[in-house]
Amino acid sequence: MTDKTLILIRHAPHGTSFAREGIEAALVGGAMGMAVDIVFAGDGVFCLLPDQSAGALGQKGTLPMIKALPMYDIETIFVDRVALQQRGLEVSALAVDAIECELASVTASYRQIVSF
Amino acid sequence: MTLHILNRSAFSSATPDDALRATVPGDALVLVEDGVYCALDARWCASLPLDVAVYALSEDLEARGLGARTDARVQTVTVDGFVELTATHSQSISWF
Amino acid sequence: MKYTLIVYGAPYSSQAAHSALRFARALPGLGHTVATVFFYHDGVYNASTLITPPQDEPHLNQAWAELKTTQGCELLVCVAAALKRGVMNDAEARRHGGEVHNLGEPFELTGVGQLLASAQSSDRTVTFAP
Repeated sequence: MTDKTLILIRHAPHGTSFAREGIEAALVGGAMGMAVDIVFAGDGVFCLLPDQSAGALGQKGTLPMIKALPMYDIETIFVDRVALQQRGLEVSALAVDAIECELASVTASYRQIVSF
Repeated sequence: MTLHILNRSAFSSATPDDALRATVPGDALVLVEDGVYCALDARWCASLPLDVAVYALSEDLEARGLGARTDARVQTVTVDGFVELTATHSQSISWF
Repeated sequence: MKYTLIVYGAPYSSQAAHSALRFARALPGLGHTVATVFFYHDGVYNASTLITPPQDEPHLNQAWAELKTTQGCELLVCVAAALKRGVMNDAEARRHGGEVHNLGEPFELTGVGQLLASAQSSDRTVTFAP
């Protein structure tokens, strides 16, 4: 069991701000030198699509934050294999390098999991 | 072992299925708030893994008039019991 | 055990705040304590001192304040999530040229990094979402 914190993103961008606020928490933690990893599952995998843009009235999406993750020392980006399969997505077509995983095997090794 | 805390109804959300898929043997799952409606869903309850203990918060069942309607696989738990589940499991995941 | 509770739900819109409060109140009787309650996402509205429920509903803002009195926990509110939703203290209101504020003791504005720091320094973290 690692003392790292895992941020679990299960919501799609735009429709709610859960994904944005979760990724923001991960970025701030990384900037502060905390040990944080991030995993995308469920509709959260839609945060990783490459062709997103800002929404109506300039509503911010998640893509710029996703691309910033490696620069904030969050090097491990997991994505749930089943969630990708259900949605017809390939890990190779995502906007960042992500590690395909079985969600249960990732979450089991973190002492603190904060879900969004 | 992980405690999964679920507050969505399986009748209207895919989240309860996602939560079940993320369990491993020895995990526990507690139904709270609208999650207690899962205890009435025969399809969802039939898909429960045998090695995952499933609880529903009694206060939330009673508030919704569901006291006697839960599936046999689902045990009821008080708020104190819910707290103890969080203490005896090394981490929790909230599913919403 | 020391607990951090995270609240994402706005008061009176979802059950999240009620659920978190009843959980927090049950902790001492079982030998545990809540060290930090962190309000994020729409949970920041719990900190508004302007909350005025009808008399037959629980006063959630006061209930949080009482929790601090009885258990000595921190009531931390993410400053970025709060400001954009119109929840701020006197200092932030002045800084942004406003004349009114709706957050004060015992709630504190803090950065979201404190959410992770609180989680890492607690034995258990439990999230209450809408």
